[in-house]
Amino acid sequence: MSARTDEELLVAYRNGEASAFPELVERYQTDLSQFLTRFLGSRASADDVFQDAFLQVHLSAESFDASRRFKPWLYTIAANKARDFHRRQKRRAAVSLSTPVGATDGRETSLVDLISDGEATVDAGLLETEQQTLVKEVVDSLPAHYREILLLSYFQRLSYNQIADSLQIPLGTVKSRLHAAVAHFSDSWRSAVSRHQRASDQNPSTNP
Amino acid sequence: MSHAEDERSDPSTPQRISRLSEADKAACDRLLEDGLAPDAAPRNEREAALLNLLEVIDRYPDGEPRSDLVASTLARIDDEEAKRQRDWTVSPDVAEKARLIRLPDSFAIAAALLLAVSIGVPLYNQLDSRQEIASSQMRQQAIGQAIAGFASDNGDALPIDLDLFGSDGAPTPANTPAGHLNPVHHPWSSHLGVLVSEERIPEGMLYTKIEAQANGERGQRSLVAYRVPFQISAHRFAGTYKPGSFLLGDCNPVIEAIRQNGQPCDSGVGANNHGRTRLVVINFRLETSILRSPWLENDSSSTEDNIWVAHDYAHDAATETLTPEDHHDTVLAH
Repeated sequence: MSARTDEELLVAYRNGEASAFPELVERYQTDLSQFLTRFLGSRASADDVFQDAFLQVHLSAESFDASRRFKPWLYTIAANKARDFHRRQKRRAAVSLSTPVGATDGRETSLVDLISDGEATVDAGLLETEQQTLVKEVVDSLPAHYREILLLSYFQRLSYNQIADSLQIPLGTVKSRLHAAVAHFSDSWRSAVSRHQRASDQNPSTNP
Repeated sequence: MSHAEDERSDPSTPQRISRLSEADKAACDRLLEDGLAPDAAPRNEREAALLNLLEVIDRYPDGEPRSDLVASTLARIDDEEAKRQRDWTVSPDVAEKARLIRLPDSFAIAAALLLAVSIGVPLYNQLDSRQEIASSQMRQQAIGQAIAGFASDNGDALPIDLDLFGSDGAPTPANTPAGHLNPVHHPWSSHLGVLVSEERIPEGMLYTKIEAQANGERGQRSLVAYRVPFQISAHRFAGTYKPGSFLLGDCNPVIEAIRQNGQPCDSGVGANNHGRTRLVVINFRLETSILRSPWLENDSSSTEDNIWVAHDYAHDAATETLTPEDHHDTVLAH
């Protein structure tokens, strides 16, 4: 592979260097696939959306502003395609993206403090496969807009500014949505682990 | 789709809302704001707890990517390109026929153009009006989301800028006399300015620049009206108002008329930006509606409520009666 940047590869591609595009696709094969699998909860769906995203990159290559970073642009496209996929599949109502942050309407509010909740983040004696099943259950059950921002921030290591660019939301919303996503994830993970432990205690024969 | 999936994405499903403590929010921002460094080392116990939690995501069982993913992606792009090429190719026969336009064809084309204009102009106006409605809906949806985010970060409080009360004697939020909130004299939607300063929305979403004023200064015009509280201390996102009650709307035509001419207009009309025939509003559930009239059924007292003015508003009684009478009296002002 060449040492050229992503941006240089895309510019080379739109200038007619056909071999630059496969190199770009290969670079993101693992990262984007994993992001989409976590976002969509299924490898097959992730593969479809991966192809849609790169098709869009190909179609929009002319409009790419080479002074900006390629990665946030790609993830903007991929996240949009993933949301479209959700809508097409009617797996989640489109309104989930407009769910009010903190619209409690009398619902119970819990204040998460990560230090005091920290014991729930260790493996809690779970087998590797049990951990994986629980993690999938918890990540898949997060509302789409929380899952998306958590993955972009932690998994893709995008900065708040890049996330704001990718999702086309203001910086303040990135912060409040990410805080809410971390709190929600922490709460769900703790609940899932204690639920699993309770089940194991009631049925000890399933534990080694 | 499983029922469980339905439930988790339904915003009306009762659920517990989790919030990070302020210390955790700060730790989160320190670690993630500039992008998580690959070799990020926690500086304290709190950051370690956060990283510990997030590392859980690494255990997600996503397996190895499909070995032919790159090849199939490139093949798909080739297919799409080939299809596009086919769609854009004009066969030689068709191109030849296109050159043979005769005089009768010209009359037919002129007639068709005339017909298109006679249908097109009203259609264009209709589309323009729909675009205005869509624009109001999108604006209110974005501001509504930002208000919800603000409330989430501020213990459910709705945006209020106390500095804006300075000239009225700076009432305290705990017990603000309703008289200070008369929106006729108060730039009520300016309280949303905090959403701009906190970068939750761009300024252009709240205001539009207007050309030179009578005094020669350039100014700005509000684009949205905001719920006027009966009491500031109870101006909260949840608890005070009914979820279906209105949070934002188009600019209030009664207030616009008073500010421009010193006289109110008919309070039964729609918003000025929709030709006074419609208005767009958004409720506390962040659902937008297009109304033909500002009159609403008021559940609590079986009377009607006009959202441009207060319950006790009397058209002849001049301009001092736009202050809400209680928490259920909807008044949207800018």
